[in-house]
Amino acid sequence: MNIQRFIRRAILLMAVPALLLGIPKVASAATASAGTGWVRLAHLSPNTPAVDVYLYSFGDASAEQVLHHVGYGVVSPYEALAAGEYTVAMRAAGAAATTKPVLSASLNVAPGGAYTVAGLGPETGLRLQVTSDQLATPPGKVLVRVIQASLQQHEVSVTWNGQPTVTNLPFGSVSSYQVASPATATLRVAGESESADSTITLAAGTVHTIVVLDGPKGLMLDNFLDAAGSGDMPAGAAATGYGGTAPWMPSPMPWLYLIGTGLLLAVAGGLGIRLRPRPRGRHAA
Amino acid sequence: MWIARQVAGSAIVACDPAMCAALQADGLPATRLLVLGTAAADPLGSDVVVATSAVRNQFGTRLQSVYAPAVIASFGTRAGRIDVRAIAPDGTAAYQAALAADRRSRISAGGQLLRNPRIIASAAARQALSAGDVDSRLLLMLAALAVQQRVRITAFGDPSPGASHDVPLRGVQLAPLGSGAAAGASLRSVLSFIDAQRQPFQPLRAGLAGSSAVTIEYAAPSPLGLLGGP
Repeated sequence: MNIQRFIRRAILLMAVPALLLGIPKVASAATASAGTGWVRLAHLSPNTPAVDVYLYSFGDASAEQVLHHVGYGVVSPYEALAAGEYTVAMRAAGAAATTKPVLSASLNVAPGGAYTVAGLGPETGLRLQVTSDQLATPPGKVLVRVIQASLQQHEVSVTWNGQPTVTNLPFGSVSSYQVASPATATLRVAGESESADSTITLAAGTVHTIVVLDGPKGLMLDNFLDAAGSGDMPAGAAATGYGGTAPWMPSPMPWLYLIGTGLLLAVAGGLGIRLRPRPRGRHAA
Repeated sequence: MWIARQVAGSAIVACDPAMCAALQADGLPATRLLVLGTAAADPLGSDVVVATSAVRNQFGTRLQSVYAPAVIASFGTRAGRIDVRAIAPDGTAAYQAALAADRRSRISAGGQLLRNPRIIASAAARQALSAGDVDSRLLLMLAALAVQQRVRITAFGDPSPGASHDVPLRGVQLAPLGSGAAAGASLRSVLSFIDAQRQPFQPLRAGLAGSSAVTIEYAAPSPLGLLGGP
């Protein structure tokens, strides 16, 4: 067996088990070693039209990331990003490539870090706020935080299983993570004139972001699973209601990249195709 | 005159009555002035303080050690010296810690920009980026601009005479990479990009420097903590 054939077969042998077994764990190890973090986007400004959000890498101008047509209530899945500094900018959704993006914030992606870039506040005072997302909980506990994105209710309070979790959270703000006990119970949010509740399961070792929204019929709750026990990889968006997993994302979850890569490697190994690096998709700016 | 031209339009300026009158004559609205009468306990509540001899006498060493450690510009000598100082609202220790953290972020960000193949920098500009001497607003703007077009940085600068050595450089001069009509289009594109920005990324001024460069200048004082979010 010549060396090229040996390498192809070795790639094939490595790729197939990766497809069959535990892809998320593979993704976690691979992305962490490559110095990547995870970023997701949330449009939580009730009266702001949809926007396109851009992430510009300081070190690699060809690595522009764009999240298209993000509307109110949408929280994207996490996307893997190379560690480093980014400028965050916005354009109106669908704006021509000739229009200039408006700089909005900065984001420093640390290896293994997870972040939410959230558009918050009213349209006149729209800001992009970057929050660091927790991936691990105290043993046997749940972490919960709340984003107050209801313009109709200036302040809200949240109770979980009858216990106050967050109180008097103003519109456009993000609470710190609160430690809670796991259970299947009622999560209740109450504003000045409206309230909403939902029975949900918060399992031990999971991290959740609860988003309070203005819905078509009043106050709404959305429960996003930030992490589910691994402590080193976010879970992506597991929405229980409005928004959440709406299929707006231009790219799939990080582990889908791994599946795709595994398939390519398998095909390359089997057919003897030599893989060349491909430039990442760029969007005209 | 320096304050009217260089300090952010939203900044509150603390000053003694005579200086405040002079600043008002320079065009600063009274709403932006915090007059430090003889009974004023401190200059807190402002963003910058104009440290004339009267203000220095009033607050003594506490002006530097407690309220406003960083000089962002200085004029004159001896008793007639006038320092413009950035207020540290949370105290000197917190300010120095924030300044040090900001410099670390600027060093990291500047190093990343230097690896960006679409950014070409002169030797002096490279040195400034490596040392973390460049205002974070400029760094963020350059990273985004480099996606739109290739960027040649001629120099970073700061129109702040007598500023402390750790005060970031707020100005940059950019030159086009091409020549002729392409160069002109490149410069106009830079200015169009700048025009689209809002605070805190909207510069104090930006314009053509002759026909071969663009100068961009951000307002004083430089914000801390803009990089490295969250």
